[in-house]
Amino acid sequence: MGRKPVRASRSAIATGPRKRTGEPPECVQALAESEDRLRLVLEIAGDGIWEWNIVTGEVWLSPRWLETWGYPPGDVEPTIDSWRDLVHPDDLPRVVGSLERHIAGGTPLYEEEYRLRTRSGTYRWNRSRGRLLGRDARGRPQRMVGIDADITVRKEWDEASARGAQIYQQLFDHMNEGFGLHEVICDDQGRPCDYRFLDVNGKFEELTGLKADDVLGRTVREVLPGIDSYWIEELGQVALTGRPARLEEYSTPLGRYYRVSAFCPMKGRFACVFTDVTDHKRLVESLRESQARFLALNAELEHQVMQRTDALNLANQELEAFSYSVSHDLRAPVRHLTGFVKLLERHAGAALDDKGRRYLGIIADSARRMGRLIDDLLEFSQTGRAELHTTTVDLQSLVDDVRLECLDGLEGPPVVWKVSPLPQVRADRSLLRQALVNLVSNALKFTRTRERAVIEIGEAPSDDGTAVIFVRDNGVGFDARYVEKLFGVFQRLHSSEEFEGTGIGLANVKRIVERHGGRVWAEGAVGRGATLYVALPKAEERGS
Amino acid sequence: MKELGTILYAEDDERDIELTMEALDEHNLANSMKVVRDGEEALDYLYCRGSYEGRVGEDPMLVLLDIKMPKVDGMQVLRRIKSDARLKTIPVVVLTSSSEERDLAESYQLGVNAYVVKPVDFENFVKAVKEIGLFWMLLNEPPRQYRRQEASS
Repeated sequence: MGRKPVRASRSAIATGPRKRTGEPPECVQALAESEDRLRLVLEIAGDGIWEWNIVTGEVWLSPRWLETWGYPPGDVEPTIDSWRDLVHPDDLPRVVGSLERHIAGGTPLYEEEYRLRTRSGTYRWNRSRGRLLGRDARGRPQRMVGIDADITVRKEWDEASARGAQIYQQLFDHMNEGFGLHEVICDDQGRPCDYRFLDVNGKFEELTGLKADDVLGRTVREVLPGIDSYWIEELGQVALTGRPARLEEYSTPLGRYYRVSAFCPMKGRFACVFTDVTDHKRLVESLRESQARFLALNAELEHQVMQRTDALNLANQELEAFSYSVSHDLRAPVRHLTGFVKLLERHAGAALDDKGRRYLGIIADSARRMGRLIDDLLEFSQTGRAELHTTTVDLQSLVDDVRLECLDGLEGPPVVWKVSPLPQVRADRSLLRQALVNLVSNALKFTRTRERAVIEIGEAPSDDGTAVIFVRDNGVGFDARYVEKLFGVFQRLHSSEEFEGTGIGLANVKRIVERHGGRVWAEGAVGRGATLYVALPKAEERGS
Repeated sequence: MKELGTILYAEDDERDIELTMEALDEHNLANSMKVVRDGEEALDYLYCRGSYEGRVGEDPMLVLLDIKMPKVDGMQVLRRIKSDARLKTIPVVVLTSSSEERDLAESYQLGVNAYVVKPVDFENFVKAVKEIGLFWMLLNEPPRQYRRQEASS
């Protein structure tokens, strides 16, 4: 840098007294000693000292000063100009202005913080303080002394904390939660009775609808006269005990639900971070309400079902009692009729003429028919009431059994059976057997007038997952117009002289199949046979 | 041919009684019939009380029971017989008009030996009654305990 070495021996402090020629020598001596002591103290304290001869523009810098800013002794030219050169250009006008103001007598002390270039070329913060020491007789400033200190560390820390504070301020201003700082107010007994708003953030205004200007410095009872004392009590306790709390409650004056996290930053105060949970609460509430409605509805429904079940059970009991009494009491007289006709025949048969014997025959026949009707009715009523014991039933073997049973003792034309492979179904075996007996005996009955009965039993294609079984015959068939009557109770499409029967067989088939969740239907034409279909739930395939 | 014991026949319907007797008569079984008209009388007979106080002779070899009877019905009689240590080895056949599932189920629950529905048709009725008589009186072997009792009395 090519500066001239600082000459310490020219220190104004050291040499100054020699210039104060108007003072007595002992006084000058005392002053010089006191200045030396001061310099020593300051140097020990670590501050650099400077002295500026305003008249000559000479500057003296202490060894400590030079050391502080990294300059070897004699490295800085001892002039005010070289000092100017060391000051950061941005700071220079301010510092010079401050110096001038002081010299002009505007300030009791010169004090400035500015950046000073060190030997390595970097700038460090300097805190400079100084004072004008003397004026000449005409009032012109003579010299100024001061101390400088490197305050870079403190300055950086200040800046960092200012930045930190700024970050927190930003967080405070932009957070998604409302924030409020409050001071609790207690009554005579020391119980919280109100609180004062000290600070709120922007979100507070948004979430409560209250303006910061309207609340700050005021108490909650002033701002919200309808405030629930719950809030004051709970939050007041946080301020008094220092224990944080979480609340989730309704605010009556604001008409909203808030979830609040409250803590105590200092005794007597509490801070709240809160969110509006009204929508969530209302959702939960409406869910709860609809659940309650659902439960009530359910209970009502259950009650109705129970009532209906009771009614149904009662009806069933009556039906059962009726059928029980039919079973016991209606059969007996019929049995007696047939029995005593038989005994009469045995006893007086020889004495009767043909006509008399024919009458007896008719009575016996009618009684038998009556008996069959009763039995069929009872059976029909029982198929409706019997419990289902569902198992997997192999139709093939069941049909074989049924064929043998139906043929047993039957008179009629030769029968040609065409039985194609049959599936397995889920059914009550004995009920299904009863249905098949009805179907097969039907086929045998209505083919009796044929020269040769052809009865076909097989599985028809189905597209709804059920097993469709058909029984086809080449019998007398039926008029398709009356197909609806085919499966009705006591409905007959032929006279009983032509074909005996009570007309209950197919009604029974229908009832049994429907109890299995299946259905029945028929196709046919007069003189061209009939085909009866039964759809039943299929048994699941093995291994699937 | 073994010595025939008594058949106790509990039946309230006199026409049924007549028909049953007629049916059994063909096999000379009618003579060994003791007919009672209701459950109470049947129990009196079995326990030798009431009008049967001092009855002599052994217990019946077979009890034929109708279900629907006045006062004490067939089920109650069946229950008493089957829960009595002395009587429970006597074969009991329910002979009734009803083929109701619950009667059947209850009878077997109580330990009935056979359950026969009276056929409406007379021919079948005769056949049924005859078969009951033949089976229980002639073919069936009663348990030893019963025979010992029979021998000692």
